[in-house]
Amino acid sequence: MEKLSLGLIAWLLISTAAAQDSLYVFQVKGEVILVTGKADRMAKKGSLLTASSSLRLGNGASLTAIDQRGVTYEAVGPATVGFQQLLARKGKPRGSNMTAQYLTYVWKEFVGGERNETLIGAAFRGEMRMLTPTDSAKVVNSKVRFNWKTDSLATAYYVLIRNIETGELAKFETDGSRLALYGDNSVFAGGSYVEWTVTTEAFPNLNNLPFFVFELIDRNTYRQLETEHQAFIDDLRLLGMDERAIADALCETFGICRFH
Amino acid sequence: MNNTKRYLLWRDAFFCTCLTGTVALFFYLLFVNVSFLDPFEQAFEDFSFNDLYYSEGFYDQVTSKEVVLVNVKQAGRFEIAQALQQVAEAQPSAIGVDLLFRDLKEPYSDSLLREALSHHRVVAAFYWEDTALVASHPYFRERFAHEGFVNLDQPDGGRVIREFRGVKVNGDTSVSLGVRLARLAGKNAERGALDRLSQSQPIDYRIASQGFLTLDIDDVLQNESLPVLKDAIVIFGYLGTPTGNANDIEDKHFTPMNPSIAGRSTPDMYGVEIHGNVVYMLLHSRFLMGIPNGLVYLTAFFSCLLVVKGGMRLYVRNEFAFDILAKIIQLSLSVILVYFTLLLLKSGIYVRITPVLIWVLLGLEMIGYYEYLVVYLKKRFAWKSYLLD
Repeated sequence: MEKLSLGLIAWLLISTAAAQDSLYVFQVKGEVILVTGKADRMAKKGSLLTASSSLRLGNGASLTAIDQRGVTYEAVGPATVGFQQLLARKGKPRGSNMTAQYLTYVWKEFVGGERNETLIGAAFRGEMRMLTPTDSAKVVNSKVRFNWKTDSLATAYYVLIRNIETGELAKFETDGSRLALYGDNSVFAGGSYVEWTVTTEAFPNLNNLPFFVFELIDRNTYRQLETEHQAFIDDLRLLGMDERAIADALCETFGICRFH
Repeated sequence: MNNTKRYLLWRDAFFCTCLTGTVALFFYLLFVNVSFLDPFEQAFEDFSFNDLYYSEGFYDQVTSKEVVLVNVKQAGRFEIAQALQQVAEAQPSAIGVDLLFRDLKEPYSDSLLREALSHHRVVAAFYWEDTALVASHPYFRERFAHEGFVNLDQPDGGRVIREFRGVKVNGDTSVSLGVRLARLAGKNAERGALDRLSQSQPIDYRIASQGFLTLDIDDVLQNESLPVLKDAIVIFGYLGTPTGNANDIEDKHFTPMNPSIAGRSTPDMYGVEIHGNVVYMLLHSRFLMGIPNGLVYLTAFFSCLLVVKGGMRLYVRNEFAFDILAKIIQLSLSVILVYFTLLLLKSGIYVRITPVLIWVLLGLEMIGYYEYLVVYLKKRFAWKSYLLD
């Protein structure tokens, strides 16, 4: 009985020490909201997850958390996952059975492998409808307005916007020449680099489309960049242009954009 | 088999092994010294069977928050200084800065950066160009608390980063960025550790690019607090714009992790990730034991001797069967020897198997040529051979 009691105490001590009371966000894809006692916010790499936290994962979103020992825990959306539920979803350990992996490798080499990648020795050129944001532009993240050239024959335009860092892709159908999205749109969540294109095909092959890439920046960065082109702005003011027209000119000329 | 036959078999196997070694050496010298064969030398210089272990993911992949990387992208000095201060407030065990600030820019941002780099936990980078030290501008350098070199030079001059040296003696003794960071975190500070690190050590890559916790400098600046960085080793460096951009190859290098182990490919790992792997290896004292070249060649000789002996017995019994089986034996031996090498690597023993493989495979091919030689010797000197008598 004594031994049993001692064993029980030891087990309780060990399990208490081994229990995880906090995790850190290691990777996020898509829109993941971290719900804590204080306020809801977007989960970011390095965010702390405590026993009172829970996660709201959007459609196609995923999150990987890590504990002190380097063990990973994974959650996939759409779902709402509590801390204890997350602890139950351990990631798979990688690279364990070397013999099986090696034999598979040798077999693949024997049968000629599986590498038949398509290699293309050309650059893509086509009619680019995109106007602003221009390629490599820096855009204030509160609102992004996409402008493109229209065609008298086209009845609909499909705007494709992809977050480069999270891989999230959004498609919008419109019959006009512009589309505005606000900063809280899920496609902008979790990354600052976004690419976009516009096409008249509803289901295009994305590999055949040219994309414009832009970076989302905050207002302070915009103001800093603005000061680098102060002489240009002063000249436009002397010409009598108002602030909105100056902002448009800055966007078209230098790719530093703030949409009103 | 009587004793004479047995003696002749061993003697022939020994001479055939020596002949194989001579032929292999001849071809090696031909590759090294004949300029038109230079591409072959270059191709073989950057090839190692051990790379399979990493490129095919046979190793135990690690995900770690002990080493956190911060991608500075194209951020200015003001942002870098702010990010360094923010990271320092999170109380990491050490902060590495894999960046060089060669010139002065704006006095205000420069002064902030100098202040941030002078933190007692920050290790700044420099590198050796032959015997000349290349570092940040003296304005920054005079306030550095710690420095470490970031050279990734390979002892054999290859382009694949397989080994690292933690300590260099160029007049003064200098320590690498990785070693300095690990020492600040309390590792490799013991006596004798630096002696070991002054020799080239194979890097035990454990963390692939996706295995690091990588923060963008914007993430650092936007977060009010970063508890994840407490007691971690944080390294600032360049990891592409945006992070992990496959087409961005600034400060990107070839490592054994590259999916292509031979032929042309693109670099696969950023310099800061290589330093991160070195730091992880030092933190966990995961040193690979390199087998000396002398022992490798001795193993190659005896392996070849045994294979040639077996091959000669088969050759004498049934030449037709030998011709067919030799290729199968060569193929099986290659597969088994490479597997054996990978198993040893998994156990922490680093063997250069290529000489063993070449000697053993060539040994079987040489039996036929050796027979021509002994036929000639028999005519001239009445030479006795297991293959003829």
